[in-house]
Amino acid sequence: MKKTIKSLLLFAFLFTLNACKDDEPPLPDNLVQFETPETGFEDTEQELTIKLKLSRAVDQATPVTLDLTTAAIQYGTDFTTVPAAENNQITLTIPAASSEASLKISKSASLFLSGDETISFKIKTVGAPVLAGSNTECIVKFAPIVSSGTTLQLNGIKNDESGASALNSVFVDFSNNQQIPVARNSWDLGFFAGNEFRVILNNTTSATARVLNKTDLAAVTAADTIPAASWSLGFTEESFALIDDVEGDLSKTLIAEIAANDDDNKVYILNPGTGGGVAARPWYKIRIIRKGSNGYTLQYAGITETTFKTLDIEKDASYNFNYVSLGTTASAVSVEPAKDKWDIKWSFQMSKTASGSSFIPYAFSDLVITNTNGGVQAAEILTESVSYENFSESNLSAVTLSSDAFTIGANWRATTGTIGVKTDRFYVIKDAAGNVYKLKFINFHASDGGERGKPKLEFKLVKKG
Amino acid sequence: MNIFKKFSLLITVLCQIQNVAAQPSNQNKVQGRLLLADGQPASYAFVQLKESGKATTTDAEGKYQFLTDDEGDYTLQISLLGTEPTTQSIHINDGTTQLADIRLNVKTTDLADVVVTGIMGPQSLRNTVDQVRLINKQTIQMRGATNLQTVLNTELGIRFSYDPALGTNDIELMGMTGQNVKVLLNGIPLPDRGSTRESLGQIDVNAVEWIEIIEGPMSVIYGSDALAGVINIITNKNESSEKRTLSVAARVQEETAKNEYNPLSGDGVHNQHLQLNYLTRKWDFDVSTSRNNFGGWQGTNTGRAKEWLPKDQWLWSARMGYRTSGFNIWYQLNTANEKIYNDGNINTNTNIATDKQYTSFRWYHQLQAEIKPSSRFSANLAAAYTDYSRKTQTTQFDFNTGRRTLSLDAGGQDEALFNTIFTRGVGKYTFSDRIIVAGGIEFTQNQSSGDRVAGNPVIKEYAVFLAPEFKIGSKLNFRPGLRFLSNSVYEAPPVNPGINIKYNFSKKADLRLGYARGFRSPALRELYFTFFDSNHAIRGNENLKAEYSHSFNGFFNYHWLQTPALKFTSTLGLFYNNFNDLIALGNDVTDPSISTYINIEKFKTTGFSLNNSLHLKSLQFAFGYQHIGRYNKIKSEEHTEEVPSFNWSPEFNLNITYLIKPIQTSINVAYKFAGKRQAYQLESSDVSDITLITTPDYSMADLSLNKKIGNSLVLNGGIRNLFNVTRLTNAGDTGSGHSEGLLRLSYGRSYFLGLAYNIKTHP
Repeated sequence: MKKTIKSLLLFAFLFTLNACKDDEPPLPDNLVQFETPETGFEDTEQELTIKLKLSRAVDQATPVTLDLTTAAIQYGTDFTTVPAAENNQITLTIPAASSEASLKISKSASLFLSGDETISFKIKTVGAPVLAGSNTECIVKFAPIVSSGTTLQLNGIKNDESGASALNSVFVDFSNNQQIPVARNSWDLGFFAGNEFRVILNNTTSATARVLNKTDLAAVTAADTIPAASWSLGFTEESFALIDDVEGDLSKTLIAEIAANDDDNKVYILNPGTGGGVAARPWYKIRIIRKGSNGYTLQYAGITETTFKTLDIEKDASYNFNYVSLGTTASAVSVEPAKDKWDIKWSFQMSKTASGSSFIPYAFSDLVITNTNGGVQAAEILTESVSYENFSESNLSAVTLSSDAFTIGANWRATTGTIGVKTDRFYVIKDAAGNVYKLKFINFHASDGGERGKPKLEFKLVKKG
Repeated sequence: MNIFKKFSLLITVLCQIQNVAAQPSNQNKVQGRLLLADGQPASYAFVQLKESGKATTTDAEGKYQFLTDDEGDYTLQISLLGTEPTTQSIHINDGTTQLADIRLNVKTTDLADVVVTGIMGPQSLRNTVDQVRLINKQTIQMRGATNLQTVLNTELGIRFSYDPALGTNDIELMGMTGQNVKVLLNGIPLPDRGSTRESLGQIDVNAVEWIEIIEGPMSVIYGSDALAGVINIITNKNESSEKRTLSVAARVQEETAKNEYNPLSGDGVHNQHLQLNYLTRKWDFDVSTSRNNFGGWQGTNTGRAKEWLPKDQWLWSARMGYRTSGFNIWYQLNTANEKIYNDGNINTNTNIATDKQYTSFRWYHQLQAEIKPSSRFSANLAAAYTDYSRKTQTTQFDFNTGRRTLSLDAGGQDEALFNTIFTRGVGKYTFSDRIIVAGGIEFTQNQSSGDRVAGNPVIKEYAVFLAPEFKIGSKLNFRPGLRFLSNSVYEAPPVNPGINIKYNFSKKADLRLGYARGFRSPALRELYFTFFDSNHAIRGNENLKAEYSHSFNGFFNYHWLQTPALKFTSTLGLFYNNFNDLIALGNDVTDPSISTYINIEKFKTTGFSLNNSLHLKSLQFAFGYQHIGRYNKIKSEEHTEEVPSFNWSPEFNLNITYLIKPIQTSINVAYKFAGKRQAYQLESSDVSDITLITTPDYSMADLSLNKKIGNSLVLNGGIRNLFNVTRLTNAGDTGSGHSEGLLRLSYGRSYFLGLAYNIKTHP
């Protein structure tokens, strides 16, 4: 009896040592689809890139075959593709560890267009385990298009950085179904291309600057940067004195308006900033003077350098700003698209937040700015007045469009409480050409089923301009 | 003269009458002395010769003598309230027989009077130099508790906070958060993954025999973390039985979560417990399991989201022990498997919901041995190994397709692993009644890995400690102590002193004074944490120092009455704790955009308490008052004028148990009032701008009824949180970061009903 009980107890004892592991749910399907269902191939361009996007990177090289159909245009004579089509089929390979593939269309030099030519690509087969997604067709029109609407997933992620400090700013042009990602640290100064002579700092890297009471770059030494903390942004109200106006008011830039009289333009120390996970870079001493009536001359050097270099920037009025990237040699860079080629910008950007009874500078992700300098207007509509689905041209009369660049701002999502896009609102955007779109954000965060750094949005044409 | 003494004298007189009546043939004399386990004299013990029935009682010094029969072998039987009945074979010679001192073992079932926390082994509560608060099994069962929080909630100086994102609770003792509270299981530290004491919620309350709470650091013996105090949870009964005994205990309890309830699973709290125990003279075996299922509570949330997260917990334990004279060894395994579900709301744009699930596994192995080769020397060897994993699984449920897939979010899937090895050897040598030398060595190794830990760090800590106890005269006990420390990662404070003094004014009054230099080693997380996303940029700091404190306390106990029928004791306590180099998040000097851990904050607590307990036959009545002052952290040069050093907050508690014998029913009321608590907060970066934040007062009260049905069934029922407290809103709080100025205390007034079954057989 004693033995039986002992062995029973021992058995029970060993039984407790067993633990079972649960089965994991599968990974979601990896879907491949065209970035946009429709795109315009403009007269001025010779080449066009069509992108296929995957939900996530593939482990191994994966083939995708596309069917090619044309209307009023001939493959080979009027245009070619890379990779080339064979029997109206193109085989693309998504390289291992990549989440996209692209093909390039080139016009032939002698092509004469009437405007109603189209090329259509359709996903035919996809190598397992990748599956075809919803945008399986892409139509290329040889004219500017006015999109009737689609869904876009903005590509804020440049490398493999955390989604909350996504490295790209993304400019979106609704009418052309287009997104243009630009690395936030690809520029340092923006020179206003309008009437005034104004220069902005990079507010997407939390760059800071301070004026020195000197007008000669050569006379500025490392001693002028002491204490270093004077150029570092803190969570204090005083830190506003180191940055441009967070609302984007051009009359309140940190760098004073560039004076006609050269001697009135002082030297600034520029800290390029590390906001949102941008790697630290050396500081610069800069001085900007006017060049004639339609340009700037930038004088720049490293802090300890005794000589300086210069770069001339001519105002290009098709843009809001003309951008420059500093470095050993500064150069003009292309950042924001031409001012009539974008409607909203999504980015990590400097803003402000309440701290006690005052405000402090605070940079955060997911700020959406409307291109007010380019004439774009926006309005926020609460679904309690009309739903996104039901909103149509007839509702427009009740909408007051605003030229406040922050109409969308960060109002479209919540990062505390119930984290996710706010489903009780959507937006109306009127672009510079007069096209009116309704816009809603679908998801942006793991908590609402999205991906941080790659917000998904949907827009539909309400009224053609 | 108290009733007890009178009673003893009466017995003595009766015995003497019996002696005279028996008219012994021979007049041999037997004499000796009885001592308690801690060396104190065992007064008023009943001593009897089994063979002849001759008996006497011991005097105040524990001495006894009687005249007896012929020389030969006899059996001496000794009994004293609160000790194990002892029998001993003796030989009586002609003439005078001087017997060796006999030590009486403290009765383990009379738990209210024995404490084990500390270095001296089991000691009576009255004799230990530490001031210990006890919560016994009876109280725990009376309260119908399914977790420790229910029991500790109404203790003075203890509060709990709830993390609505993770579904876990943290304890606060004497105004300090959980990371400064040392939690022990059977005297061995219970490791936690982070700064909160989640482990308190992962202990099977059904297995708890009693709980000891000691305020103030016991850093000489227990080392790091014990800044605010020590909570020692005892599950080890250390029982043996002359007869083979098999016992079975089973329990089922159902509770509502405020007004949400569904039988057996889902809404509400569902607790099931089963325990098997087998005892022989030398062996003991014990296996038990408990399931705690909580369906969560919706609260102010809508849709699928819940304010209190659902939880499913399986707790297992197994124990095997062997004892022989002077040697006792046991192994115990406690496992916890906990799942907490954080379901998200449906995104109406996509009809997809994101759900999180936190799965923890804890394997806690303990091996302890007690060796007592002689009556002078004893040793306790302990080893423990903890294997703890916590997995975060994020999934997306598509309501269009009914399919659940893993989230690809960077932080969505994580498994953090923690290993702790702990070994300790403690020896105690009794030189004489006046000097007991106790000391030990300790080794702890912590290891961790996971997404938010940089690398795979290993921290080793070595300690040697010494705590001799001296008795000066018959009234003064004096125990100085030192702990020597070395750590493989950070520069640990090399020497940590402490001293405890107990002075007995009389049988009725005693005074305890204590000082200790407490410390907390930087946690692995503070040294190696790494967490970077848009809202967080936090890095651990390998150059941290230990937090340390100077803690002073004093307790004056007065035993107004101390008879078996009536006990009434009052305790007046005073304390002052000064904490330095507290680790807090601050800006990294080399890169202000990154937060890191730095030794920056100071904190002080001070105050007094008055506790009273009254035990009548069928009534137990305890009430206490505590007044705690918490230091104003912002107190600095600029605010010397305007801001007081301390913000004071009162607490009051009351615990009444009344037994209605005829119907075998007990009623218990546990009540605690926690006064409003205030703290100054900097309004902004402008140091001259301060606001006063007020956390409102609240009252927690539970009412429970216990009815015995027959010999083996107990019916239990009651109401928790009578005042229906759910949330406290801080007044004057502007809210920043994670603090929303809202404290979640409970899900409100709830009802419970349970049945417990106990049976013992002798197979």
